[in-house]
Amino acid sequence: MIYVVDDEEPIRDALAWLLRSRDLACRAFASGEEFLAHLDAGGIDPDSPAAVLLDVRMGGISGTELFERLRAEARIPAWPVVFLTGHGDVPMAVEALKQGAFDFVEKPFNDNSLVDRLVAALDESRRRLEEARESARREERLAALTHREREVLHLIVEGLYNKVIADRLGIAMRTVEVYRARIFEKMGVKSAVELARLLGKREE
Amino acid sequence: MPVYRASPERHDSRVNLTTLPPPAPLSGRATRAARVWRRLRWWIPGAIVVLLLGATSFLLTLSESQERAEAGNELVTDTLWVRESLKFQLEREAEALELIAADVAAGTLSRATLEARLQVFLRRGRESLVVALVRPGMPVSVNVPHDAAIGHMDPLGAVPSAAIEAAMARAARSGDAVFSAPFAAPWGAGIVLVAPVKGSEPAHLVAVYWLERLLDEMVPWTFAQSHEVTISDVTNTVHARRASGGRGRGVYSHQASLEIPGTTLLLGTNSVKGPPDWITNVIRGGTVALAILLFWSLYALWRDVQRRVAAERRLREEVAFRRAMGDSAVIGLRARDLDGRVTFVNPAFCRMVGIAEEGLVGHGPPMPYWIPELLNEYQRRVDEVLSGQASTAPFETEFRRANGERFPVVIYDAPLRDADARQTGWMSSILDVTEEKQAEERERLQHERLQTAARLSTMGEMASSLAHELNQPLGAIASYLAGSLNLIERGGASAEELAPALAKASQQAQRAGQVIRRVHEFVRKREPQRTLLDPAQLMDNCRALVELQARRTGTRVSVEIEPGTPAVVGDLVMLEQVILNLTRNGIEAMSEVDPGRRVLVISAGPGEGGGACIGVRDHGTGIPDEVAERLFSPFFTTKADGMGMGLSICRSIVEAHGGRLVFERMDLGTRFRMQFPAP
Repeated sequence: MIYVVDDEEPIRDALAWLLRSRDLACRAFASGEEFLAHLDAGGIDPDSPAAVLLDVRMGGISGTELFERLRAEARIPAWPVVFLTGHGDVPMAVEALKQGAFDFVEKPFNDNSLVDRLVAALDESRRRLEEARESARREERLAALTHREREVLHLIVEGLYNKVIADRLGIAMRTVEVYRARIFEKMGVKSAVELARLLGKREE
Repeated sequence: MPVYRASPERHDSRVNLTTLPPPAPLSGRATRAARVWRRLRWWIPGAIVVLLLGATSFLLTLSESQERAEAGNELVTDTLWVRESLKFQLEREAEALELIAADVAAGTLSRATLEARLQVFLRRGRESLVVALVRPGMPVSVNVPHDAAIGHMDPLGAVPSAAIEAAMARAARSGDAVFSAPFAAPWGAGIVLVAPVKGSEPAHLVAVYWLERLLDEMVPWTFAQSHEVTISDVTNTVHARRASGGRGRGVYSHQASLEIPGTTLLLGTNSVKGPPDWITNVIRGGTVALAILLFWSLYALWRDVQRRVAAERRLREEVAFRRAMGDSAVIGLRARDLDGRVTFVNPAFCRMVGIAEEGLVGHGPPMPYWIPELLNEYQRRVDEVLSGQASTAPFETEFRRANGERFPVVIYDAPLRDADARQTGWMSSILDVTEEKQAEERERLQHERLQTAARLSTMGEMASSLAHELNQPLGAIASYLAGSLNLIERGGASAEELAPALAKASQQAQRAGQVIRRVHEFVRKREPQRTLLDPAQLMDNCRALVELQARRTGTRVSVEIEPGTPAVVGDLVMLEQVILNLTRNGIEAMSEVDPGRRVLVISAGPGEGGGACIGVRDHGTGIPDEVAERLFSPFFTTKADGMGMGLSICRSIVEAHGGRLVFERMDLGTRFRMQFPAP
């Protein structure tokens, strides 16, 4: 789904036509306020892959203001934002990029390249959602570990042998092996390497 | 910047240069002594005058008393002389009568002889009134007819008998002739001389004397004129008086006893002369008058000195006041004599030019603070000022500080006159206007920047809004068309599907067309307001702005308008902009060349085809070939901050007026020429 926020009706209409011609679902809003209202009303599912195309110059709250607000409130963390900028707005757009915008497109735009970027944004959105899901799963599994299991897990990830872990924690090596097996099961991994990778992603 | 500071000692020495003594720095004691002396100074002449007056009075008194004594002595001598002559006369009378009495006693005389003798006796002097032989029972007397006034009287009969009898008794006792005491009779005072006739029968010769007449006869006329002479008896009763010269004053008088046989009289003299007052008075009065005169002149002198002292103090205060004024002024002050030599400078001027006072006073042109390139200008001004032709209008020029820094000044000159209103030189106030000029320049730069900013922002805004206005429809069109193409490429897009998008694209194309039309209309509204313009008027309007542009680089602007220049039909504001644009280019073209070469000439004259020709000529670096080719192209510029629109717009404007804008390369610099059609 592509959300277009632009105060020019012809642009909205033309972009919708263009996006539809590339089989992209599209929803247009005439102002930032309208978009926010829709978001508040729950008319949009933030967990579905989508991208936002924001006109920088608009009546009411401007594109950049809207972007700042969305970012600050983390309303739609998974949706990349692409800016549409007019002549002379380029420095502003660059600033927006630094703040985490996905891309910007200068008017007048090359239409299909714009669509290409939006497609890329949608991919990014999907990736972000997948990552978010994975991370949620990981957290869930970590939460299921007991305190002792978590201690053992940290030592395993450090790459220590069972014997060393047993010495450190002052427990029997046999007990360590039991913990290890239970941790692998709970975390859904088959090896210590896999476990390290999982936790490494979390730390990223 | 080294600032020259005038030392205070130098100022003091300058005070000494004036004719005034410096205020005496006296110690307390000296001051008191001086004050006492000042007070005494005026009393000493007064005391001398008083002493002189006293001495003169004393001398006068002394000489007066001497004179008095001398006069008294003279009087005594004269009195004694008179007494002696009186005494001698009276004694002779007594002797003569005694002789007759002896003859009578001898009885040798007949009556007639006796009478004759008595007559002779009487006639010798006028003072004897009568003489008679007195016998008891038959008196014989001879009446003397001397005096008509008492002729009908019997002088003898009027004599008091007591006087006669007392005299007779004394005569009888002594046997000699004796005088009686004086007595008063109806005819006056008299005395009686009695001579006894010795014989058997007592008889006496009696003579009666009139004392007044005695004095008349015996006292010399000259003496009587100046003295009152009196005869009195021993009781000081005055019996006779001769005062033909007036009554005596009682100043010089003397009394001598006149002893004659039988009695003693007192002869008194009293000078009619008063004391010798008038000489004394004159001298004394003169002295007093002189003293008063002296006092008065002393007072006048004192007053004059006081006034002079006060005037001097005022003058000193005035001088100090003026000096303080000159020293405190931030304006430079400079006085010159008629030869242009500096006679005075104030500290502000010294600071301004950075040269000490000693280096300026007495210095004649050329001055050390003159700038060598401007020597002619200064000299002209000096000549004008010194010959009195200069107006009082301020004169703007530049001076040089000792460190070589140049700074702009404004000079005001005023004639300097002495007490007789004769001009002795010129006084000038010199204002360092560096800051004013800097402020003016800053203001001008700021104004220019503002204008540029305004122009840029207007153009930028217009361009930006134009871009925005066009972006929308163009973007929409592109999107519709791209979408339609996408559909067509994928195949299976029906005409019905595509039609609405294409229709919308067409609508947007129309909208873009409208935007363009609006811009065109906007531009059309700014078309020139054509009026008949006088080129001189046009130049006048531009001149101030051009000079403002030129001032920053020190460029000289010369405006030349040939007589008979035709008028131009056009928009005043637009043509002004063209001229200002060309002059700015010209001034900038000369920013690199020698300052002396920076002359911008704006000219107007009759051109081709009966139209006016306006030229702007610089003496700058000229236009290189590669620039010349593209000079009028839009967006072509050689300036870092230029838009490249100036000359392009200028040409458009001139062409919109039906004229041509061309340039010619000169030996030095470039000339832009606007040729307008005939009006």
